[in-house]
Amino acid sequence: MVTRTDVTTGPATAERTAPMRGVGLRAAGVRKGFVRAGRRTEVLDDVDLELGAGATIVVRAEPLAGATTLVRCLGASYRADAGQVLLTSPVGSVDLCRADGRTVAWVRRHLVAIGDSELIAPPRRSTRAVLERALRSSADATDATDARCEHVLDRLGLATIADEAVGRLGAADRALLATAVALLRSAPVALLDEPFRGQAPDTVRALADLIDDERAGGAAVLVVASRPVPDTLTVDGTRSLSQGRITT
Amino acid sequence: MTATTPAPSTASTGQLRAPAPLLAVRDLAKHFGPGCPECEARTGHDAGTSRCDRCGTVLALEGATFDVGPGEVLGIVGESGSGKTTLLRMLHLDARADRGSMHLDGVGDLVDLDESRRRTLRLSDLVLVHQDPRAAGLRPALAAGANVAERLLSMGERRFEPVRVRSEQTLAAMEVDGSRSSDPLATFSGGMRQRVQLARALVSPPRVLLLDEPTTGLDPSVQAALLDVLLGVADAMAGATIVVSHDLKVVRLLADRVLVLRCGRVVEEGPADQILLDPAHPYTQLLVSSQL
Repeated sequence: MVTRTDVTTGPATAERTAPMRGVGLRAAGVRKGFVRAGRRTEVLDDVDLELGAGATIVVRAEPLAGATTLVRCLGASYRADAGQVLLTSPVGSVDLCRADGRTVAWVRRHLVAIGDSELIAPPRRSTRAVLERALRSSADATDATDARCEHVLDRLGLATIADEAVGRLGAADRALLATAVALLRSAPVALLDEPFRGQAPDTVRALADLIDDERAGGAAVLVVASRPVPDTLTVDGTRSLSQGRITT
Repeated sequence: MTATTPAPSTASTGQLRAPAPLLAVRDLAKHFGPGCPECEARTGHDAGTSRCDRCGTVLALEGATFDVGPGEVLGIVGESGSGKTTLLRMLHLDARADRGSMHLDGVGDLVDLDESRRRTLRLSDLVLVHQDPRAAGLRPALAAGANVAERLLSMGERRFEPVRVRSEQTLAAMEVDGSRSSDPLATFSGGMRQRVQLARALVSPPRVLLLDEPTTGLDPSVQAALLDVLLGVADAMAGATIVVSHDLKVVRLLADRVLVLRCGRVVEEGPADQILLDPAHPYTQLLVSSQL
């Protein structure tokens, strides 16, 4: 069997450094609207928000308040119409609203993880293989990937579907897996859209533990939730999003 | 996919930027016909054609500019006639550009290389996985393993045992059953031939891997299995990968960034989810909304 190393022994090996720490995200004056059926709808209105390294910020959002749009604008999946999303790090900063596409893609690949209900994975790939890929891509990847994968599968109650193809999973399991993938990448910034929605109480507690692990490891974590987050989650600040505006 | 974070480029300004590109393409153009002063104005997205109605020249590709770095996957999408194949043929040095440059790190500009140097680079640095395995130079009468080994032999490897072992290892990595490596390629299905072609491409990993519609024409279950293999390939590539597909789901899965071509022009470029979730150009919006 060819190992990953065998296939990657190409001459163009990328320059590598240690995992980056101390990364934060600061949004200022972010606006975003969409044109649908000829009508423009403003979704985010002058949003300011700061995520610091080693902290979890919860944004409580009522339904249709613009929560998903907020997560996607912060992670540059959507282009903000105005404002700034500044990613800061010890080696430099970049405004994700104005950076070139290649730099944004690079930041997304290495520094920012988004966990929303959309799981992007080959439909035949197993739940376990999807998690293993996230662990291998982690900035903190170690030789203990297999053991950690089994541990996470167990904690999240996914062990019974570990060998199931992700194309056969239900919506709640796909959403849980998408959140787990975002967390296991150990990116310095994690943006989570409704990570607890539709999950069983034990799974909610396990997810809160995983989020706390990332925070303790120095990640800047955003949790957007329409319902109260579990008491066990360590929260450094809470904001409210209402009708596209951060109100507190 | 990398185990540690590649160093970004920050220059002296404190601005975080992607690392230096492996392949830098600038103002690349390929025209078919005599050309006239109005060709550019009479073609492109607004004109809805790549053919100049004044002189009949087809601007198959006009002014393409993009970078792709080590470990990155660039997706190229567009309808038939948008210039995807022309661009791929130039990147694979099968066709000569009329204008522009393609700078490969450590090699220099590829545009003006002579045919001998082009042939060498096609063997080592720039490998194309064709949509149709028959177009890839695979030999149906030869065993799958021999088809893979042939690339190593043509690169100058003469020791039989390392060639055999490496060929079988790479076929196994592409999930081709070891018991079939001695079977003639003619007995393989379309999906399995694609895997053999991928193994041939990766038995000595190129610096730039070009994938031309890798899942087109395969039935959905075969396509799904091949996608799993392709994602593994894209993750493991230390070099750059460029994938051309009209299937946006394939591009979303594999690519970090997407380039949208229309009538020979790049109309939009950006991170894959940005282009596919929040397209800005009217043509990209049409393309995304047209997907089943």
